Amino acid sequence: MPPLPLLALILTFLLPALAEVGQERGQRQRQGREQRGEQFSESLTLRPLLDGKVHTRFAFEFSAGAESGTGREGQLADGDEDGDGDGADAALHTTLLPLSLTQLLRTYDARELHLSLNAGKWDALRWGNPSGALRTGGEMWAWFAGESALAEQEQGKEGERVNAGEGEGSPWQGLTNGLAGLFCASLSSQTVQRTTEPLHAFRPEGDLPSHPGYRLFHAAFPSESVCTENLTPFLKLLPCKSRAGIAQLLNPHKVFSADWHGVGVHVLWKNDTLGLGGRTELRLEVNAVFDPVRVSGKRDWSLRTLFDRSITRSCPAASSSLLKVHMPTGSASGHLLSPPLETLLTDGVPEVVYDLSQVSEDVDISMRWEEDKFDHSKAQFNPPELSIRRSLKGSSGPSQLSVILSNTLPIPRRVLYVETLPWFLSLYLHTLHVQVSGVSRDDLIQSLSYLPPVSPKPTLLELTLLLPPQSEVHITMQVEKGFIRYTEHQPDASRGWDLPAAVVFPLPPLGAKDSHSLPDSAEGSQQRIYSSTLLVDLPTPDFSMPYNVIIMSSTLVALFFGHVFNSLTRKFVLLKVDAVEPEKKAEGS
Amino acid sequence: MPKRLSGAAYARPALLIPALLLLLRFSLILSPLSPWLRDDHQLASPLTSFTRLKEGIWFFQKGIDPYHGGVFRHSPLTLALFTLIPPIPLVSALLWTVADGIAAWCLAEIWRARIAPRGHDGRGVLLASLYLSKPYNFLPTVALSSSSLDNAFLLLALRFAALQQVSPSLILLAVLSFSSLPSILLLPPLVMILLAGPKPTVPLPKYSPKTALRIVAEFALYMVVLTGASRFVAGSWGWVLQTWGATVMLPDLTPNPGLWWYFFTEMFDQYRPFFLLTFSLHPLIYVAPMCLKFQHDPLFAFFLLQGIISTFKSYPTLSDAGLYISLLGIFPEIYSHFRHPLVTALLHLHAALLLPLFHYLWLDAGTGNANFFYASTLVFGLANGSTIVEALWAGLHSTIGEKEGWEVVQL
Amino acid sequence: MSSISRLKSFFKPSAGNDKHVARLQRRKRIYTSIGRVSPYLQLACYLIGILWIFAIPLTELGKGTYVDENALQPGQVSTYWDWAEVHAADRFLVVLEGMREANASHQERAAWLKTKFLELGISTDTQAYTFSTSFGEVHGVNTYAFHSSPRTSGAEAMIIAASWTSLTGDPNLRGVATVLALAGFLTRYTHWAKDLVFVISDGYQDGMEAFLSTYYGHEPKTLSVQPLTFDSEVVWTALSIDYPGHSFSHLGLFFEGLNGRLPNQDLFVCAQVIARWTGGVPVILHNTLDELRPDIPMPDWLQWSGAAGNWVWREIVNRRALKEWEYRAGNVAEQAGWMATGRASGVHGVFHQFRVDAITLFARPATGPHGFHSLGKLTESLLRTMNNLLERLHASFFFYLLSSPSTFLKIGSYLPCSVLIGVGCMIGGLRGYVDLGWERWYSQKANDTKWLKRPRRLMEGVGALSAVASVGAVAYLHASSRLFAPMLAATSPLPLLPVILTFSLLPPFIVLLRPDSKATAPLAPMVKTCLLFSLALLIAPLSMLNFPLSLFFALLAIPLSLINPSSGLLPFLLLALLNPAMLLLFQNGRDAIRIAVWDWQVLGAYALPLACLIWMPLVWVAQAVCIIQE
Repeated sequence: MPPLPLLALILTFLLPALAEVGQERGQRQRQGREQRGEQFSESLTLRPLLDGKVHTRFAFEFSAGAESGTGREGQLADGDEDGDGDGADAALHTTLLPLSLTQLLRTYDARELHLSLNAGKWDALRWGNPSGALRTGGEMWAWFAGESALAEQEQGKEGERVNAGEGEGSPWQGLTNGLAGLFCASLSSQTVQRTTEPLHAFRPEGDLPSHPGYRLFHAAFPSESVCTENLTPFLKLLPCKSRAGIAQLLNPHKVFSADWHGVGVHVLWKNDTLGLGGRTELRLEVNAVFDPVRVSGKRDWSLRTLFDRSITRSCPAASSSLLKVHMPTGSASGHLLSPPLETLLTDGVPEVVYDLSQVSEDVDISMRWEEDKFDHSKAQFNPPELSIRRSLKGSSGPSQLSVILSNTLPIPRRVLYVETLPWFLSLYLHTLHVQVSGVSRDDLIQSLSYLPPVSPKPTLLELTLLLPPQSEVHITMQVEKGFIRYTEHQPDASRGWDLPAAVVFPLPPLGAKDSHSLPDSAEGSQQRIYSSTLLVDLPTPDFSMPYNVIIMSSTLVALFFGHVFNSLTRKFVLLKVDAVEPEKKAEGS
Repeated sequence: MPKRLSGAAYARPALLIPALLLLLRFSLILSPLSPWLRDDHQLASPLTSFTRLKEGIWFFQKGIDPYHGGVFRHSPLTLALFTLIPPIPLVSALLWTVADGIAAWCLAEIWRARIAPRGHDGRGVLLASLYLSKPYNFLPTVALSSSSLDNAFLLLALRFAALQQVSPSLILLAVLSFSSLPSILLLPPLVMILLAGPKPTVPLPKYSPKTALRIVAEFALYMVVLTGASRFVAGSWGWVLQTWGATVMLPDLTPNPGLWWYFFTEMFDQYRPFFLLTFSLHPLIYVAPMCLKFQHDPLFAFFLLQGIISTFKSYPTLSDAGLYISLLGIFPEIYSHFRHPLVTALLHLHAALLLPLFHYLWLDAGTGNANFFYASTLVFGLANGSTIVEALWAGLHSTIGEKEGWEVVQL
Repeated sequence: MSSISRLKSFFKPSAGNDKHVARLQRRKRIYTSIGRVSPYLQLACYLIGILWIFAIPLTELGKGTYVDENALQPGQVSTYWDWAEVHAADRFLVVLEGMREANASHQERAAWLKTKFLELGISTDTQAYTFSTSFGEVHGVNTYAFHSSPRTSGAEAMIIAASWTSLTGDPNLRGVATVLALAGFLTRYTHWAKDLVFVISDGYQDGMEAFLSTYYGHEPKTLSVQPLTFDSEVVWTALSIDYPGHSFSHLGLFFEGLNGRLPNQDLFVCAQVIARWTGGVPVILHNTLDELRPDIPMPDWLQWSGAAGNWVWREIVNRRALKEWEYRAGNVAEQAGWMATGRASGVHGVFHQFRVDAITLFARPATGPHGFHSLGKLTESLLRTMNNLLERLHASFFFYLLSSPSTFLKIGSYLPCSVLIGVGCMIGGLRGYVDLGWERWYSQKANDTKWLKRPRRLMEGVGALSAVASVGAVAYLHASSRLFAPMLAATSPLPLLPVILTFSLLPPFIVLLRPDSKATAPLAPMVKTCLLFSLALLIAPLSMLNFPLSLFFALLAIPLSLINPSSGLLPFLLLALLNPAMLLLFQNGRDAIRIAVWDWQVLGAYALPLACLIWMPLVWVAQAVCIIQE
């Protein structure tokens, strides 16, 4: 087999020695690959935020084209589904795409996959609403190809529907386990308790072929956190690891001390313009929100202060390697960027773009502000056009889930509100009320789809609502906390259960063609807004009691049984007893 | 055949008290107190809670199968009833009030049937008033727990049986067994009452097996018909597992004054089926012995079995206990033969205080744990058990009577 | 062998009927003896109960406090609070004092606090609220700030609070300054596992009540309040900082909450440990210094007693153990007082009803040596200890009496005293009930007395009891009406005399209106029996809920249970002295009642309904027992 990966590897190692040679070799390599239809490009976007923080977004994008004819549409390019000989080595034959990942996808016929592990609570008011997964904790959803999905349905038909989609041995379970192993995340622990099959939410973000039978599974892991052990395998997937290119900046110590951080894996299927065949796109993301103000009291940042590293050489495998800085707008005090470069305007955002494909010396980009101290009170936040607030009211008894959706635009908005709750929390839908400034507006609910909880599967509620212009819509419903067996409780039972965040998808207005599909945003992924997670404490039994309870309850029953049959079976006789003094009658009346 | 008493018998000031009590509960159901009590675990079990009932109806009207998921566990018949009469406050308040009224009236009627032809019914009204004023029956009604309706059904069935009206009583029992399965155990004593009448009879009455068989067959017929009807209403067989299944498998571990919930919360999973079987079959043991022992007074056997069921059923509420304590009022002749009435009464009083207190400490204040409430349910169980044992002993004893200076003992 | 057989024969007598006879007779003997000793048993219960009360402060019953939850690790962190923060606090304080001088309005204060929080970069807002009480309306404006900690899911939070008014009544300026400085300081660190909520509540407890009832969505009818502008999260711990003076010598810990609720003992112990070892501040309970009283010199008029007197004075009056006992008794008494009256001893007390463990750190005003530095230091350390918390604190640490900052009584060692008295009442009730079932009947010809069963008048007894008790509702309605409120302001009891006389004398006479029955059994003892039963059933369960309260009723029960049926007017009048209405005669009593009414209408403290619906009726029933004539 052509030792291309090996070659690439050697190259990357030799690069420091023979830089310029490596450069043009790299060029040739790249062209060679592009003929095979594999591409790799990387970019880093830095976004200074209104409250002095900096949002950094690393994006590593692979794409592999499918030769038209071979490979079912939607199937990975280098895949061979029936595993016959000739395809076999082609299957293993990837030059850039991480084999460990593509193999997983191929084995389980997953056509679209989104996995994100985040830590921290995204503050939409101060940080805006960029698209993508901003959910606290872990989230994973995947579209599976027809055959497996249909197989699922058949399997689902006979027997309980509970484990149809995500039972042991199903592709979903397999994929979860695989990814859990790959990214050292404990996704597979509670798959069944977490998995739902939304009907309207989480439509494909790529353009999956429209033939039926594609099946969606979604799972949210609110209490899953992300740390170094997730980043290390993540870096392993990159062609240059963290040795070259912008990936050099990914310094775990810094990234994981950021206020908000997360890694994401996104696999999409994109049709070709010609319509025959298509490309599988794989995007690996790392997001982080840094707070220079906390450290220095000023907003100034540089790659070195943020990451404690700088870019020393470029990754030859990357066809393009860009570093974009969004220039802050509407800020009183001036700021200067070094090294200076002219500002371009790409879709309304003024940004400075550095090309890092040719790196000779250390690159360090910095921005400093003409102020000696950042004044928080100067920061003007404009509220996001769509936002959700959710809380669980009521300290005891049947508690109330109250959700506030606010639309700041002067036009009405259609949104899809998706709520997922564990099986032991049952919503009382007849108590579902929608209010706008105190006035009941149940008419705002346009459609409602509800999957009641069947232990251990979660509840799924999908509401389509019409938000009046510039309004706060209050949704309230009663929630009944269930009582579960002592074996079903978590190890830290008296902490409570984390409830996954509710999700809000903005929908195109009615009348627009197929108004159920969700609009895409600039970066190609769906615009969606996550609420914060909730903590609900269930009443716990005493975990040390089983034997005592069995003993005491049984004793009571036995006592009763004994007494009853005692008096039923023994025969009565009259006895002559001498007369009785009155106060002897104490007790017996 | 005891003759029906003329309506004139009711025209007396004593009837004011039950009337007032009914009015009181009617107004309380409409007051904010009712929603506050509605989800109380001691007044409404998952099988009888009004909130869940409304949820089920909401599903039903939205065209979703209410028996999918573990929320709605009422019988399809109840569902049908409440889709006919919407559960708006005024209607349900009226319904529950009327149901309690009927129940109380039935109690009085049963009493009269028992003492007929002696026609003084002062005690009848007293019984009715006691039934209506007893918190165990009063609060569940205010909380709109459908267990009050079950009580009404049971008493009505018993009344018809006492008046020797076979079919109505059988139909009612069948209907009842859809909302509370264990009540089906009351069929044998009911049949005996239908055969021998509600009065204690010496010598032992002759029970003709043929008639008994006919009655049982009739009951089976009703059951089949009603099952079909339920299937028709629910549209699938899912309700069987959700209603009858629930009483046996205990899928919902919400606390109640009974003995099951904590036992099966703490039960090891591999022993669960065995103990479920044991607990379900346990009340069955008593049916035959009681009926045999009290052939001379089937009504008493009925009362005892009712007590056993309401003590050991899987989802009891306070109104179950309330019912058989009220039934105790029909047998004044045994009072003098109780052994430790004070102890039993005090047990009941303490249980009545401890149940809400420990429920609060565990679930609201959070300063006590589940064992507190479990302990109070044990006390309650003990109180109920000892009441039954007392009544049983006194019932047996009263057949012997007493003589000054002589004591009755068992060998 | 033979002994064993004898033993056997004792337990189950030999065959034949005589064994049953023997058994029956044995049972009767037992009953007889029970019947005979029951009065003494009752008195013994009372006596032991009372003695036990005096035993509670003994060092022998006390137990050293300890931390139960291992995750807490109090005082194990190195704190960063330093003079820079103290300086910041001082600067805040200057402005605050300026505002006090210019006595700024609620809105101005709130607005300033809001800008301060904004400058610290914490999202903040204000909340105006209004309580309507029978004394008029209570207005105020809270300021709250919300910091969502980095890398956390934002599901849990801790509340750091300071009320504008201190529990001493002075403005809590330094407390507020401390919270502001803490807000600037704590949010600089990333090690928080829970979000931080800073609340500067207006007024004393009303502000926090308004804030929390919106936070938990429990707005009472009497409250009109603005909604909060951030999501409410799960709160396990809250600290209220109370620093009225210039500087402080001791840190007083206040922990009693509304309606006798207590915070988890671990929170208290952590605060105590950290204050002592991290902050270097001596800890006291409430506001009482932990010093034994000085020796009392022997008065001159006792000098004659000479050596004996000296010995008594030295060995008893001035004995260290006695002083120790007095000190502990003082502490326990104060806690019991707060709990029994259902009042909260500080702003923290409002939290407990929502299952939040909270205490007030009270900087006891003095001329030194401590100030912002030590207070901030120990607060930081305490917060970081509570930050370690992974689960709710364990449920079994809510029942305790603290006899000193470092010793406490477990429930088992104090519960018996009220339960015993309850049992005493139960015994008395049982005896009364049994006796009522029999009457001695003297037959001429047989010339001996026979005992005949007679029907009891249980129904009538219960009826009389409930009839009298129902008047309590009237008393309650009157007390909570706008009619009654102004009267309390009066400095002399004269305008209140009609009320006092009405509610202390009239209600019992209702029983005289009863329809006369031809039953032979007397009614008064039956009513007394019912009273005893209800007392027993009240005291025993209540001791689990709120021990000092049940103890109060136990003490009330003793005189009530010792009165004789139909014993005339003198005991009737004496009992009237036990009526809470009598408090209205004294200035302090009037104040106490005014506070009770206010607490009930604003905070929902139970003192008022309790006095009207339980305490008064109990006394009335006892009075009725005196005046019922057969």
